[in-house]
Amino acid sequence: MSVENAPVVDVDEAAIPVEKKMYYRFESNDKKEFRVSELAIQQSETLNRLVEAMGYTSEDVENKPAIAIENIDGKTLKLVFQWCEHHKGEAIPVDDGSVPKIVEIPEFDAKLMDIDNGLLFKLIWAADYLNIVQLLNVSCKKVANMAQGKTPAQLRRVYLLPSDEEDEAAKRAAQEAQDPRAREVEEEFEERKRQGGNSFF
Amino acid sequence: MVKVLNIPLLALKNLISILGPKEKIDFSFCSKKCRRAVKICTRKDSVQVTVNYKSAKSYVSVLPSDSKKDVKLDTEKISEMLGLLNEGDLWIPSLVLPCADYICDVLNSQVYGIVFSNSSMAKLVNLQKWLESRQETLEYCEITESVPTNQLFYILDNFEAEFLSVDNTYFLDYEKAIKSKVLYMKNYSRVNLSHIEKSNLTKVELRSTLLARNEINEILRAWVRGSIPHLSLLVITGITNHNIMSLVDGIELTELGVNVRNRYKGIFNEPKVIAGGWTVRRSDGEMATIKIVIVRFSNKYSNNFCINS
Repeated sequence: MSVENAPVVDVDEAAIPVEKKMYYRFESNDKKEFRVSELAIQQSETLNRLVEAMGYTSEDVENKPAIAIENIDGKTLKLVFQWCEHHKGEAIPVDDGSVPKIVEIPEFDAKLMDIDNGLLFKLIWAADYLNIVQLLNVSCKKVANMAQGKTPAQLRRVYLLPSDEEDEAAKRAAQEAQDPRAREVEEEFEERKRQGGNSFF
Repeated sequence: MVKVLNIPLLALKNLISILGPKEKIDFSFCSKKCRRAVKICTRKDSVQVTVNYKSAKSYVSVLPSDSKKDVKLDTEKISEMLGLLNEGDLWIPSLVLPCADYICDVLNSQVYGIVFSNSSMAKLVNLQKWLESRQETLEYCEITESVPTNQLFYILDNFEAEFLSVDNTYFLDYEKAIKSKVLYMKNYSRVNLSHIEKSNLTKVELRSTLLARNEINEILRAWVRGSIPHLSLLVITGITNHNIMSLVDGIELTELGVNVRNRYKGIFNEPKVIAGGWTVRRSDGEMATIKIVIVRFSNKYSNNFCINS
């Protein structure tokens, strides 16, 4: 996709100062391209470090290929960059565990996260991967709010939590997948038990 | 629906830290993995767990450190989830203890306090053994009005706490209260200078006091002399003497302007401000602020007194 056709994230033109401002180009894993302001990138510790390490000039930004973000699709990345643009320049919260975490979801974030749970799940992954502290806070808060007033049985359904039995079965299946001989031994053991053998050996 | 256990660890930690105590407990009942996740992701002592012990319907309440409102947990439901109680079974008060154990374990906390109401001697003995087996100290002990004398003595002898709050008319043996650091008497007490001198009390609040004017004056003089250096806050309310200034007879005071505001922490560590009042100096140079407030209740005047160093 060419830069001209890329889904550019909304930028408040009036807010752009007279001096030349750098816009970086990023590409999602489904080849969608985004232009993101330098200031917005600062919300993501991962991307901020990446662009610092690259040391691009304004010419490089235009001429070199867009920076690929392999793990995130275009739909999710669009939400991430919209969030970063809206919150650019804001202080990044530091969580050292010394004070209790109080998270409130601003109106803009609430609208942005008015999405299906699958996409919300991807947004959390992206916020974690790109290390965007406040986006991770608000997206987790949104998921935490789903727990309010729910019984454990309801929570299992909302959060797709496997029961202990399902966990055990998954663990066994994983072990068997790793070692096919273990399954054979178990089957042999069951067969001998059926035949009335007291000892396996 | 969101596959919560599949999100990255940092995000899961973030999510669990945002859940309220009730949601954390419910989440912990979903599976062993969930219980482990809550335990790992909950900061140590981030909640205050209080056992409200009664003859019937005992319960556990939890106060998160970021909140002023405690959350009453449904102990009957937790007992059911723990398999201690089947649907239709009668609730047994001692079931609150395994529930408290579970809550403390999952939320990484100790039992912060116990609120005592009328129960029975046998239950109190059971409670004391349980507490002794799980921890050495108790931060908070509250004795409510319904506790009869025999139970009251047992509680005072066996449940030592840093903070003692009493709302009980049978409570007259103040010697037993002085083992605490903070004392809050809700009603008509006669805690006097001799009790305070023998104690290590740092904060005392006596509401609707029965102390006479000269007894309060004695406490103040003793503080100035330096014989009760540990006392940093004394609040007395409901003084019925109209000659309120006689409380400070013989004490050298410096008046403060009404614009002078001194911030301090109240008996429950809540932020408070004294506007104006007087400054008083102790013999070793320590300063304190005294404030006497006249409060009007219907047609009666009551005088409140506060000294804070």
